[in-house]
Order: sequence, then structure tokens, then C-alpha cells
Amino acid sequence: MAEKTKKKSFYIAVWKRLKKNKLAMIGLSILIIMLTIAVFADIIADYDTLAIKQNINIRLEGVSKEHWFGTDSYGRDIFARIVHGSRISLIIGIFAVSIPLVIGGLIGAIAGYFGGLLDNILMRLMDMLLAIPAILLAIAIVAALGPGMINLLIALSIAGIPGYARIVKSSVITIKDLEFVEAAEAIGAGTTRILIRHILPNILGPVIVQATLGIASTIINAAALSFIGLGIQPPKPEWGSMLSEGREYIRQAPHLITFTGIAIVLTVLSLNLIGDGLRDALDPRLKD
Amino acid sequence: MYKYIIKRLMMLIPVILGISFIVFSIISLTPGDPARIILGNHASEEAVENLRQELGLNEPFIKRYISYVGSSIKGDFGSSYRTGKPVFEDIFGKFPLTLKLALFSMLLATALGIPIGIISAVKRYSIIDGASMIFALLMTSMPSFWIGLMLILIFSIKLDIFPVTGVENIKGYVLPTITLASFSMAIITRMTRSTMLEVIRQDYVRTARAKGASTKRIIFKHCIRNALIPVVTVIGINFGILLGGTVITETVFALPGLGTLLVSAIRMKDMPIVMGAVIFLAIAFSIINLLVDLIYAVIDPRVKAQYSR
Amino acid sequence: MSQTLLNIKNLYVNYETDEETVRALNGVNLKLNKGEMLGLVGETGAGKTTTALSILKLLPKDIGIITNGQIEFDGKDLTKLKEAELRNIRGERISMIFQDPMTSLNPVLTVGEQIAEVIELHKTLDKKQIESKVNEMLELVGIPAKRKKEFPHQFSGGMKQRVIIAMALSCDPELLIADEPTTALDVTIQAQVLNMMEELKHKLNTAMLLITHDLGVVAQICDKVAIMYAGEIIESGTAEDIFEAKEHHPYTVGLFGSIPNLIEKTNRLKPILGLMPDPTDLPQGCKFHPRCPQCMEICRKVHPDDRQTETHTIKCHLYK
Repeated sequence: MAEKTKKKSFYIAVWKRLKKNKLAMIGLSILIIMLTIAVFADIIADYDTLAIKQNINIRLEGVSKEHWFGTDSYGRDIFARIVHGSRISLIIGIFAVSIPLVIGGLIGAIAGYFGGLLDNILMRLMDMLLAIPAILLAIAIVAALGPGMINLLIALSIAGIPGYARIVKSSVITIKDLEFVEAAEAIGAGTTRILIRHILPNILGPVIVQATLGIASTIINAAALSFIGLGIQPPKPEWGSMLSEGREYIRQAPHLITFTGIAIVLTVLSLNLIGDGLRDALDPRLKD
Repeated sequence: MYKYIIKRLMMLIPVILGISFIVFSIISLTPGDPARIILGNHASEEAVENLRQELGLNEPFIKRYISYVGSSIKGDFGSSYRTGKPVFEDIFGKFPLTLKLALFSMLLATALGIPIGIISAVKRYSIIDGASMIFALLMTSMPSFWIGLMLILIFSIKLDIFPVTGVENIKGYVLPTITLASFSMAIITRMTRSTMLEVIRQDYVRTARAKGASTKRIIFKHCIRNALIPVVTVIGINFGILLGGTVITETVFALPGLGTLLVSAIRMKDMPIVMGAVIFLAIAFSIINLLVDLIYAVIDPRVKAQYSR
Repeated sequence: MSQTLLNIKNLYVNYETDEETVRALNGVNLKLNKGEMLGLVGETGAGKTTTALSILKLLPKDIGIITNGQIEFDGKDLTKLKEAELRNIRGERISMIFQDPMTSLNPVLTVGEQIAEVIELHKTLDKKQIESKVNEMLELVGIPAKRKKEFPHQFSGGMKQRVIIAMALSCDPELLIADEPTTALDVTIQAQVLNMMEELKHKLNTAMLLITHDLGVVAQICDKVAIMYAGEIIESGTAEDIFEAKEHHPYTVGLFGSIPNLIEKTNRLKPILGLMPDPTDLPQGCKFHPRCPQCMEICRKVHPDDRQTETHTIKCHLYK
């Protein structure tokens, strides 16, 4: 009971410090807006008629009352496409981080907690994967599997595993040797119990920070892969592939790339601001 | 020290084998029959089967991997499914541009990132600090290909200062280099600033002040080298990001490097080239990481001492 | 005969952060003559290190602030000097030895370079002369000169502290401030370092401000002693005054009561009850009154003044 209230007050203290951080609050506001847009995308702009249906008569139109961000080369409303694109980007960002987080986290926790040969084999394998730059690994996997949302998700997830495995492993090692874990072992707590009750809450902080920043970079990587034609394929309104299309008309219709780009930047920026803010709030020492 | 370098070079061998194994496995998963891709849809079933035999595609996976490694050592990475030319030739022809782009970008990122990071830390909470931190934050939040597109829009189309594409002269490298460097520069700036702030607080800095050293002297003689030690690691990691990033930057500026070769090979399912290019870039990254570790030893005497033992 | 070298008058220092103000020094008065060795004693948090850091103005930037008082060194008020003038004093006329030798040396410079730096900064010597001075200093503290090319990580804690001492003494300072120079070291090494410092003091005739919480060390080597509590000097005098006089501040009595004594058989140690007051919220009147066994009515309200008899000063209402 006492432990619970203590933990609670720790998170309250973190939240209080985070609330004081203006940049983090700006980030949080932007993210909430983006999430709202993604959730209510169908209400804001109809998918079939505005985001997908082609209309050659109104192609490459500039900003107007009917089309806030103009139209693209097929006469589709860019605003509607950006709104629906937010869904894709956020879904990929969240899933392509949580999947490797769970898998990598498990690998890291097992390696860190048990050590020995198992640790050696697992971490050598992770090192091998890390020796290949993440985006290149993702490209290779997409090359094998072919383009598409699910394949992109698989590729980004696999590429993310070794990084999370490493972070979790090093946190587990540091915490494993602290007195309170030894104390728990001494009173006969089982391995699973120790991992879940004692170690997990203590590594949660750095992992959440890393995951927040991870979603940001994953959104960029997903867009990059789609941009070079290896991710989500047109006509789906994915931000990266929209920019790739916009590139063809950069001279005639620069608004094709500006608005879509700003949408990516705002989303990624909001996550980066929250991640940085969380890091400072979790470890106030770092700030001064 | 030499012993250490040789030891590290030896350690590269399993790493390279591991990389090639991973990439080979991934590529072998590719659905579709390479023989069919080479011969096209109209070829007869018999011809395809013959080619499969010839290419050794009917052999078990492990046997194919071993023979791939065996011929790779001799410099034979197979031939392109499309052109029939040796993969190695193709890659080697395209690599200089990619390497140049990555090196220029690393130079730009460090040459700007480190000094800006140091100044921000020393003049903490000043306008310069605030401005460069916001700038760095924006840089990490912008996709490099979008930065590239915006640079083209402003500097090539509107102002007509730099070419949209092509690297016939040095001018052509300017925009791609900035595009590729932006993210790493931001990371290096932030890292330098935070390690510098950490170093400024250390006891030995107080010792130096107690000796009567000026602030300038303390920063240059006592702080920078200590602050750079962790930054070097970050630079090494960023080289991986840069090499991966060349694929995207080259696509934005339509430059004929290893990246565009890789992308077009993927589109045409030309797997020997895909495999060769990915392995090649990953090996380049490993070698650069080795170099970074050696630089580490030069800056940090504690590490050097470990090596010479 | 004896000339005043350092005279700290009514010094107040605060540590100010966004959240709170720590009153670290509350009217410190301290006098040190040329060639003398003064022991500054007190519990952790009494303000000893703050006193030392204020002398050289090395308080943490923007946080540690001298709010009042003077620090006269050889007739000049150090608190009024500009940074550039202070730099000429730091390392040359006043030098300092810090508490933790493990972290006080720069890990990426050789010990030779670090000793040479202080000489380079203050003396106009050519490279060769500097080198020979470095050799001389190392030999002086008992380290073979050839080890100057080594890095701090190649030295043990005791050896590092010797290097720091060599560095501090390189310019023949008039005043050496040693902030718990032996706390971080093993007991056997402690004795070595202390003996060396005492020898050096005699050899070089440097005045020394030795900060410690170890009364044994003070008794062994100091001429004068000052005892600090909650940012004030509550008792000071010659070593005889402190160790042999009859009248003492109750806190001093408590300090002596906390030391185990092997020769006189005491039944048990008498620790001082309670804790140091919270420096963000100091008590009224005498700051020791909440813990004082002889606390009187007046102690709760009125801050006591110094009572001086010849060399012995006590800040307590018991003595008028």
C-alpha cells in the first residue's frame, strides 16, 4: 500500500515538472490535435470523395475556400489527404514502435537478467543487426517482402528490435544489482515477480522516453520509405508518397509539398518535444 | 596499439559474415523466382528450370550462402539479373559519389555542430543558445527528403543558385550535402552541448579555475577534449544514419549513386544488386565504426591504455 | 611579529536556486597570520568548504552569492577584485587542494602538463625551466619525475593527491587552502599525506587553512583552530586554547565528546543529540540552542556575541 502511494506520488511529481515545461506542453497540445484529427478523419473529410476520387478538372489548384491546401495532380483535395494520412502515419508510428519494444524488451530483459551464454548469443545477434544502419535494414526487408503497409510495418519493427533490446538490457543490468532487487531475491521472490514488480517499473521511465522519440523517428522513416517508393503505395494518402508525387510538380505547384511537409514536421516535432520534456521531468538532475 | 588495430580488423570478419548472412537470408525470402525474373514471362518452363540449375537455385539455402560468401571473397558478388554485368563493377562505379556525399555531410555536420554545441553550452540560456537549440529541434523533426525538396524549391527554382540535380561540379553537392547533414548536425549539436555542460561542472574544471586559468583557456584546454569523447561515439553512429540516408537524398536529387542503384534494383527485383549494395554499405559502416573507435583512443588516454595492454 | 595574511570579516554567503535559499555562511570572522596553520573544524554542512571557495571566489556560478562581508588578503579585499585580478592571485598567491583527488585532475592531460600549467600561467619561464620545475615539484611530493608523462588514471588516490599538492605548491603560494585533503584516502595514506604537508609547511613557510572534521588531525599539526557551526565560527583560538582551556562552547564540548578515547577510559561516547539546523530555515537566537544541553532563555532569542580573552574567542551566552 505504502509502495503504491509512493509510486503514485512519483508520477504526480513527474507530471508536475512536465506541466511546468512550456515546450512539452506545446508538444502535447499539437499531438492531441493530431490524434483528434486522425480519430475523426472520416468526419472531417470524406475519404472516398475527397481523398481518393480523382477529378482531372480541378488538378493542381492552389489554396481556395473549397480546397484549403489546394488540390494535387489528380484533382484530389490535399487537406483531406493530409487528414487521412495522419491516420496512417500515427498508426505506423505507434505499432512499429510498440511491436519492437515488446520483442526487443523481452530479449533485452532476458539477456540482462540471466546473463551468461544466452545473453551472449542474443546480444551478438542484436549487434549484427545493429551493424546494418536501421533504414538500410528496413529497405532490405521491404525489398524482399514487397511494398505495402503491413510489410512496411514488419520491416520497421524488425529494424527497431535491436535498439530497444540494448536499452532495456543496460537498464536491467544497472537495476538488477541494486540493493532492493537483491533484497527481493533474498526474501525468495521468483524471477517473474522480480522482473515485473521490481525491475519493470524502474526501467519504465527511460523506455517511455525512448519510445516517444522512437515514434517520431519511425514516422520519418516510414515516410522516407514511401517517398522512395518502397512503402505505402499510391493512391493511399500517405504523407511520404504524397511528397514523392508532389516532387514531380515542384515547379508548377509547390503547395503540394509544403503543406504535407508541415504536417509531418508538426507531428514529429510534437513527439520530440514531449520526449525531451519527459526525459527532463523524469530526471530533474539532467537539467542543471 | 598496432596489435589492437589488427585485433579489431580480425573482429570485423565475424561482423561482416553476420551482416551478409542476415542480408542473404532476408533477400532469399523474396517471393518470386529469380530465373523467371531474368528470362521474363514468356520463357518456357524448361528454360527457367535450366537456369535455376545453372544458378544453383535448387541447392539448399546454406549451400547457396556458403558459395555466395566463397565467391564474394574473390570479389565476385554475382551478376545483375537485368544487365548481366558483374554486381561488383556496378557498385564500385556508384560508390564514390555516395561516399563523397556521406563524407561531405559528416564534415559539415561536425564542423557546424561541435562549435555551435560548445558555444551554446558556454553561453547557456543566452539568445544564441536558445536559437540554436530550437533550430536543432526543428532539424531533428524534419524529414531529410522534405528539407531537400524545400531547398530545391528555394535555392534552385526560386533563386536559381544551385542545380536541381547533377554533380558535374562542386556546386551540385551543396544542396544534397545540406540535406543529408541536417539531421546529424542537429544531433551532434545537442550532444556536444549536453556533454559540455556536464564537463563544465566537473571537479577538474574547478581545479583549473583555482590555478588561475582564464575561462577561455579552461574551455579550450580542459573542457573540449573531455566533452568530445562521447560526441565521437555519436558521430560514429551518425555515419550509419548518413550512409542509410544517402539512399533517400540521392533519390530526392536524382543522383546516380549507390542509393539510387539500390532503389531501382529493388523496383526491378534485381536481387544480386540489392544484396551487394546493402552488404557494401553495411561493411562501409562497420569500417567507419572501427575508425571511430581508433579516434576514441587518440582522444581518451584511458581507452588508449586499455588497448596497449 | 606575526602579520595578518587573511582576514575574513562578517562574511555571508547564500546559495540561491529557484526553489530555495540556503544560508551557508552567516557572519564568518576568521584571521590567519603569515606562516600559520589554521584548522577549520565542523560537521558536514557547517560551511567549511563554502568558506574556502569564497576566498578564491570559486562558488558555483550564479548560485553561490556573497551577500555581505570582506575577505582581506594581504590588505586587499578579494570580494571587490575583478576576475582578471583574481586570476593572478589564484594558483600563485593562494592555492587550493580539493577534497576528492579522484575527480580533481583532468583525465585527458598528463600530470606533468597539469602541473606545468599553473607555472606557465604565473611565471615567465621558458619550456626547459618549466620542465625542471615540474620535475622538482614531483620529487618534492615523493613522485619520481619520470612519471610526469603519465595520466591521472595511472595513479592511485594517494598519488593523485600528491600531484594536486605539487600543483598547489608550484608557485610558492603564501596561502594554501586544503579542503579535507585526506578524507577520500585510506587511513595509512592519510597519515603519509598529512606528514608530507606538515613538512612542506615548515620547508616553504606557507600559511595553511586546513579544513577537516577530524580533531585528531588538528591536534597533530595545527597552530590555531576555528570551530564552525551552521555557517558561523562559534569558537576559535590557539591549539592550546581549544584542547586545554577550561571554558568552551557547548558545541565544542560535544564535538570532543563524540571522539572515542583510548587512553582515558570513558564509558561510552556522548554524541551531540539532534541534527544540524536546516540551512534554509535557521533558528532564531543562537543557532545551536535546539541541541544545546545548557540552553538558557536568552539563547532562544538573542544571537550571542563573541567573547574574547587574549587569543581565545567563544560565541556563547554562557560567557560574559
